[in-house]
Amino acid sequence: MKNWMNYFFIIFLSYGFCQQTEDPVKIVVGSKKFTESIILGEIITQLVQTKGLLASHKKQLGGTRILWNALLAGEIDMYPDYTGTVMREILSELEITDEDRLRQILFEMGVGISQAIGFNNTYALGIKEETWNKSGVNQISDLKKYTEFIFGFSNEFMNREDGWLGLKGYYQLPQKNVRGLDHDLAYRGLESGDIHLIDMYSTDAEIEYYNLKRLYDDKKFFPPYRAIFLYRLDLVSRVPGFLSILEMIEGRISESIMIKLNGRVKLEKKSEKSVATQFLKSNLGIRVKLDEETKIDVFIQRTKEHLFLSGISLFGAILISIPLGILATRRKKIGQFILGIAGIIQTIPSLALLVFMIPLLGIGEMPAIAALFLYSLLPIIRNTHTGIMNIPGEMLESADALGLPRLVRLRLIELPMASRSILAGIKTSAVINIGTATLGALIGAGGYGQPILTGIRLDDTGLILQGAVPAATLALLVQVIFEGMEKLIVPRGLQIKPENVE
Amino acid sequence: MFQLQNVSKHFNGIDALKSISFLTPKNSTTVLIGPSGCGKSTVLRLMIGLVVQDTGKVIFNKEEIPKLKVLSFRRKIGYVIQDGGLFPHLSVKQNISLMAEYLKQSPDEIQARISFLCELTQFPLKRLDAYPVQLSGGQKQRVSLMRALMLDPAVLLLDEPLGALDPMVRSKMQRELKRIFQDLDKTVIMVTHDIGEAAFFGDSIILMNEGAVIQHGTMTELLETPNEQFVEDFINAQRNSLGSVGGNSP
Repeated sequence: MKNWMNYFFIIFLSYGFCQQTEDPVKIVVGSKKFTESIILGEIITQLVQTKGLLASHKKQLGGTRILWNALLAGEIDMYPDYTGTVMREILSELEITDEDRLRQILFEMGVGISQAIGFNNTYALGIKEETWNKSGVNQISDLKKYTEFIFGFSNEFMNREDGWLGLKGYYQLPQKNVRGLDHDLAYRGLESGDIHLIDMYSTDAEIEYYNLKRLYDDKKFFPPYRAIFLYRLDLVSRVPGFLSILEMIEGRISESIMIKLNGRVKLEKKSEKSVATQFLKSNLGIRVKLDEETKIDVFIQRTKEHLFLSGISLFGAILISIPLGILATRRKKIGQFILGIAGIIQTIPSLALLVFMIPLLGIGEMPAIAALFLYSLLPIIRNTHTGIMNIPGEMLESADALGLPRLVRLRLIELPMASRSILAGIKTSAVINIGTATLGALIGAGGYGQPILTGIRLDDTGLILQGAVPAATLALLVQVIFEGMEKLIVPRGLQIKPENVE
Repeated sequence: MFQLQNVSKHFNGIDALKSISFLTPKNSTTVLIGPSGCGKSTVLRLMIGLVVQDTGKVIFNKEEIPKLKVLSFRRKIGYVIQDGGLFPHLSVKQNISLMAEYLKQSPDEIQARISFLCELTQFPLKRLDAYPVQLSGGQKQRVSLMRALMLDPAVLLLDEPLGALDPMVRSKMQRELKRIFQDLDKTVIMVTHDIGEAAFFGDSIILMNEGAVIQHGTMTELLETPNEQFVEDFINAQRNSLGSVGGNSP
């Protein structure tokens, strides 16, 4: 008899070799998922590296909350943020108004704050020049008269006290038609005329590019958002000279410089890395040896990351789901419970599940693997359960009548007879898993989602395809591999067709 | 060999068996017969411990069927069901040798036993590597019988073993089965609904109806001194087939 569990074992063990080995890292820089944050993260990372220190950059991890929590948890050592965001969003309950008090409170939390980097990137509301000319809207309080305007705000702005939540009450704005969407898509929505007004960052390069008009904040709702770095205070003792590195960048990036840097990435399609290098060279006179990875290296790295996420989570799911599926066939009540729970997990939107994992497991690969693992459970449990339940009763009775103990019956009769169904469940899980793993990039787990995320941010279809095509190909490949495995694993007696007999 | 004492069994509130008692003699063939749903298959399943009675005793060789050692008890009994119950994922040889392999018998011993059984049941050796799906109905029953006989059981229980076969094959298999029973000289208990088959195989016949034993005796006794009107009715309904198999009808 074929020992079919061995095949699984060999296949999934081989994923283990795909895991990369990382060098010891001293400073981990994080950045939010928008261009400016990534450029700032890249600049400080390269600056640290020129001082002969090790630094890594976890790019586009997500929104403010994710970065802040990662900083407190020590998963990152520093990241760029804005004074307004820290006072009005992160620590809004403390109602801090002056920066000295902010510094004091952060200090008590073990967080340091750099001097201002230079520019103020405040929120602003923007409309097309065409709308501006036609309607005569000039300042935010004018908006009360334009109830038909459709607003399109970034999801973070929608839910921030210093965003739409506070703004609508402060200015008594009546608009109900407010949509949440990705900030980078908002500019395109405005351009196409689907929405009339969006939130902008004042250093966005698109403002000039699309010739947008910024509404005057006549009642002074938006606080200043001066760019700063937040860092863990333990960094000062862990990395001697850290503060002097920070000093090199403090006050050096003006608003006009930042708009230019953003434009190079978003409009000229340069990489954040090269834009940062260029900035350090021309503005600070620091030469960084830029070792841009080749496209092949990047592709191989992403493939490894993706296989790692999917492979480990799927392997774990197989180990857990098959026994759970078997248990479900043995105890009806427990079975309903198991299938019910697995079914509920399946209905949680994948993005939400990923974010739920962050408080438990932080950012990076672990929460992504945990979420993918949970997603992979149901198809395998359900197919194991169905496969065994579909075995005709007289087969089981024959096995019992021979005097086979229950566990032996399971191993020799039930599992082989259910193998086709179980394998189909694993195949379904694998395909779902590979697709969902692209979302892992949102929380810093890498993989093929990385170029998709960047492509959306930069409106670069080519980049999106660099993630989407390999992910789809991998899913197809896995499907083909499983069909091949079916021939090896499903017993021959279940594969051959009946012959013409007497 | 088997003795049932006042055995009752309920399924979902229905009386499947109503306090039945009988004794089956050793080294002879007892046939359980009766209309569908009379409880004859339940009796067979009680004898191998697949069903446990609500009241009464099932005794084998002067001992009750042991609850804790029911597995080793079952290995002393061969059990064949209507469509063979062969495991579709195992080859003919694997089906037959499944228990022997599990009990770690030596390959030589297993091979010798299989050769003997193939000869006994006239199953071609070259078909041992075939899978159940590739076999005819008659071949499946031969394999099922070989599997039941593999551990040389003391008793053979057969539940409508020929029920799924077409008439030509069935008639041929009946003659072969009878020869095999005579060759092996084993205690056989067989369930059928066919009076002709009962007459052909049965040294004694137990006629059941609605969960009760109506009459227990030889075919001649059933024909000549029926206990109840039901006995006559049951036999008369199938009288034609009785004649064709060579029963001793007047």
